[in-house]
Amino acid sequence: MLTDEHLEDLLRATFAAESANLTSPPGLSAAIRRRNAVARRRLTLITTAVAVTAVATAVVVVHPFTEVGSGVTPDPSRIELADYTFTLPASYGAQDGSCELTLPDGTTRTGTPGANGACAVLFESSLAPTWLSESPPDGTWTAVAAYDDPRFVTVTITGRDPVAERYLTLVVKRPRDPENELWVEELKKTLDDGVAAAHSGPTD
Amino acid sequence: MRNLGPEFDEFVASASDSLLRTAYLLCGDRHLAEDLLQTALLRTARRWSAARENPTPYALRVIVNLGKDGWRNQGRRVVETPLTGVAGPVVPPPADDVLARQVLLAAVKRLPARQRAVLVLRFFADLSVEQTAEVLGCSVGTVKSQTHHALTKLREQLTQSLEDTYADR
Repeated sequence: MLTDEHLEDLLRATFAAESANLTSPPGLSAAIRRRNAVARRRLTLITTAVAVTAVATAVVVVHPFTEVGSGVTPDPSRIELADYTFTLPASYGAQDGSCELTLPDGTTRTGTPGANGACAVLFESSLAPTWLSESPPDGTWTAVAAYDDPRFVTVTITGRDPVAERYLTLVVKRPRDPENELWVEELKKTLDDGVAAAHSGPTD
Repeated sequence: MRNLGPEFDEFVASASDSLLRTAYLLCGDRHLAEDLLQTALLRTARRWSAARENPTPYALRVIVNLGKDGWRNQGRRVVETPLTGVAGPVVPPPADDVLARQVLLAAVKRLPARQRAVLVLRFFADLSVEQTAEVLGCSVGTVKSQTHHALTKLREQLTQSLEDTYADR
């Protein structure tokens, strides 16, 4: 059951994201930006909690959030293809390397099974989460793993892309492998150490 | 138009962005929002001598009054842009947070204009209950009751939509 507070946070995040479709002169007050950022992070946690019991497919979702007032606006028509590869390690609980990437515009990519249960997923250059590959996540990132479903593990990672000035959320849903999975704290440590993702860089 | 002085210029420079975004959330159309902003600034300029002490609420009131039917008149907006050259299913399950936002936004659009305005002013423009009442020209109690009714409707629709979605998966 959503409380009024949760619903208000959802509304703030929804309004912030929707209004971010506008390009305009310098933005909202710092207080509003901070509140919107908090609301976005809460939104991820809330919706993950709602969704985890109903996962039926293995899917990786990347969703960019634009910082309100930053002047950077998502524009799917400008996405350049096939520049980055992001590898999901076996520590996410996968056992057969299967996974999918769903882009914000609704199209999907299928991951390539790798060694030891890893899964390589192609990213658009404009969606590449640079904070996962090139530098440790900053203080804005969160990672939450849910093992409620015996068949799937769901890991939600949210962080700010310091280069593109936007927020990225990865929702990883993959078949579980209890013998090869990390729990929440271990996942956080793994990410914090900067080894959660391998990044191959441009593949020209 | 007569010279309004630097105060009006400062007001336009500092408030235009948030006013435009508020207008956009109220009417749901970028171009209409820009028209609303322009009209609101024009009317504020005409009444500058009276509005100069607190011009933002005056401009917001104009935007709310002019734009309250804007969203209702909009057709179904296209929110996805095809990405050419990408293989895979065309209609995959959307991200849960994206889904929640889309459901919520659609539910907001269906709200009565006054309730929608209350939500936008309070949870986007970040106005207090008292400030919202001033902009809308109603009592504080009306703002509270409209907020309560709007949140109740949104909760019902959001919960139902998410349950339906996950039941189908």
